[in-house]
Amino acid sequence: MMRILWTFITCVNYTVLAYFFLLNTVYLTTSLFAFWGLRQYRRKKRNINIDDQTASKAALPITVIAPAHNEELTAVASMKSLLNLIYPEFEVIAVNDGSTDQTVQRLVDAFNMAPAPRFPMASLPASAVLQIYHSKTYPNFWLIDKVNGGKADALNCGLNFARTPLFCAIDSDSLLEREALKRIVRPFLEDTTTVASGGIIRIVNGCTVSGGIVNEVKLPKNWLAKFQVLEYLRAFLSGRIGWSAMNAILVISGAFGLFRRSIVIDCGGFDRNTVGEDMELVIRLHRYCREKKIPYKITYVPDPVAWTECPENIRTLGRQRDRWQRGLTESLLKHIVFLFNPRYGRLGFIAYPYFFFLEFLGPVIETLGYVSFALCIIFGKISQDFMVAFLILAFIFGMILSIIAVSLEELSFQRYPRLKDIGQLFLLAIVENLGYRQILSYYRVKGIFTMFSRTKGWGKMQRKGFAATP
Amino acid sequence: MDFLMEHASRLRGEELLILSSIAAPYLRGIAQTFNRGDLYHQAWATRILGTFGLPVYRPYLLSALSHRSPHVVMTAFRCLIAYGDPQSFDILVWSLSRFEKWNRNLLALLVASIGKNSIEVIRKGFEDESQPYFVRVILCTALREMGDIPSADIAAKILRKKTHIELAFACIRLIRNLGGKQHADLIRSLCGQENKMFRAQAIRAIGRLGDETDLPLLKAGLDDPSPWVALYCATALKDIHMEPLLKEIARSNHPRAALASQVLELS
Repeated sequence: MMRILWTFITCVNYTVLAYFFLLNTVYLTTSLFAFWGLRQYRRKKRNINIDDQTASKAALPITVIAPAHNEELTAVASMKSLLNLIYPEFEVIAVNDGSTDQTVQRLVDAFNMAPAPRFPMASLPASAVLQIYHSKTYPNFWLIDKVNGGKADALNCGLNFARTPLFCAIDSDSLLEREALKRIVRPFLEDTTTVASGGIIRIVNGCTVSGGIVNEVKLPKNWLAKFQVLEYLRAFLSGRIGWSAMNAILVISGAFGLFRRSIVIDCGGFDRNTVGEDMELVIRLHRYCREKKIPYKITYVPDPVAWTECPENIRTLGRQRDRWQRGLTESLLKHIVFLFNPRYGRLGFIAYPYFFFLEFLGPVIETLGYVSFALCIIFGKISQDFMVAFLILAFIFGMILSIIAVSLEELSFQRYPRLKDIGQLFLLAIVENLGYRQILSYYRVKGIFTMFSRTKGWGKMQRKGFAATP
Repeated sequence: MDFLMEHASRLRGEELLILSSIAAPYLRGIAQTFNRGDLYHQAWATRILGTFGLPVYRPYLLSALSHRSPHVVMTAFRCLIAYGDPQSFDILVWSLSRFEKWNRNLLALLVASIGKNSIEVIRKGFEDESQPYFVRVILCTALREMGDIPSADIAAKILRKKTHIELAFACIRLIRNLGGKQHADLIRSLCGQENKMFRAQAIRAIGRLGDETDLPLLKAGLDDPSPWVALYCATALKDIHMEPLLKEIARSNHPRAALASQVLELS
């Protein structure tokens, strides 16, 4: 019996080694592509600077849709930041998704809003609208108060009332940089087949914010938040920019993405039956365009930034990651047809299998690996060679990748001006392996198992509010 | 050179000439490497020569317009447009066919920025059936931006023939902005098109060109299955001063009552 158990553990150990090797090789590849992509972007932007055009009538009008649920602490500051955006023609539609707090009242008071008629231009499935408000101070600001139905439902509702060729889906707790729309719209101007583009999400915790604008960028004091800063740098600078350079983007963050309205409506809007509506929509857009033979492009732009507040305690972080993993799992399983399907090109053979085997199943393998590694150490059943290989692949390789992500940040955007912060980011690349990654793996595994409970909704997030940001 | 370029983008006239004189001794060397290096280097060289070296280095810029990389072509195109050289207008219009994927409005604004002395060339290109449809769309939009009233007749002539739908939309928009009552009948004849966006564009133009005789058409359009057609009908009703009718609809149980209220309150 014991022999069978140890044979099983040995198999697990080697599977885990293979997993880490594969995972980190993919990360390294995307990092290299990201480096290349960032360089190309910078050189291209230097030669063809279309800022004058994006600031003119040539810019496509945009509707920013900000769904909100119990966001009384951040809603006013977020909307102020949106209304301060530098873009020739845009409208902001905040969608209150049945908040039980003072979100609506705060917005109505802060922006001098009154009930006003507005006719829907599409009929995507969404819960009933209770009241529509229009700001008397800002003619381009609308608030839709509706029955609770979840984030996707709120986005669909906003989309029904949007009239512009493009819409920007954001989280109502995100702060967009003032030039963010001007930058994220660029792919739509350079290539009319573009159907979606994504921007970078950064962590606002620790930064100084006033009037909805991030004035000073600093690392947060809270350690969990610090780890997330590094994680976001890795995910966006190394990951998504890299996937975009390979023309194989499967995710555009729900916190900041720009989409062509007509095509999203044609393919049915956001899926209300998943908690990962952002990823699901992007996969469905790929599928829709390929199946209908519509030429299309989905891309990432490295310089438009949305700042978002991240969880500062384990419980909230756990809930967030559980939710993200459920969203990922649901989206992948719904579109399993992609897996190794030549019809979907590099998406079917590279991007989808990566997400399926390494992001969806990965946490299970990783957690099993930590457990079996610990058991082997406790019972002294581990060879020195294996231990070295495990440490190199799981930790050192991972650390190098994090260091690459920080270096990409320093080579390109240099948002963290303080040397102390940069030093800390490099240090975090080492420390995160001692607990943080394992905690995330646990919650991601939990997310896979709780997926079948079909819990929908917003997921509670404890906010401090931007006013409380130092 | 990059240092000079950084400042050049913000300067015009005399000041730019001063920078050009500083750059002049180095331009020959850049011209010699014009066709070497990767595409980004070639685009960079094009930009430098186009910013500091015109008209002397015009042949380089013109040859860049037929470069295999759209990136280089666009760089040359923008430099020549900014320089506004009448000798290059024809070639610039022809080179528009290289930018099929670029946003038409953006290109139209660039073309329109050349100024009135290019209007004949633009009109000729707009009328020219041998040009790809999207080039004609760009030129049509440029003419609209330039407020060239005679081009409304050209647009009407194009609309009378079977044409690409995108070009037809551009022509309707041009007639809406620059046309007169003489074009109203043509636009009216398009209001019954099967394509909802076609109908919407035509109805929208009626708001500007039509009169009270269009009341039945606009009233019926409020019931159109497309909310866009209904929206433009309501807006057109307001434009032809039919607010009392809109108010009546807004107060009624009409399915588009909310739309009527919105148009009355806003726009």
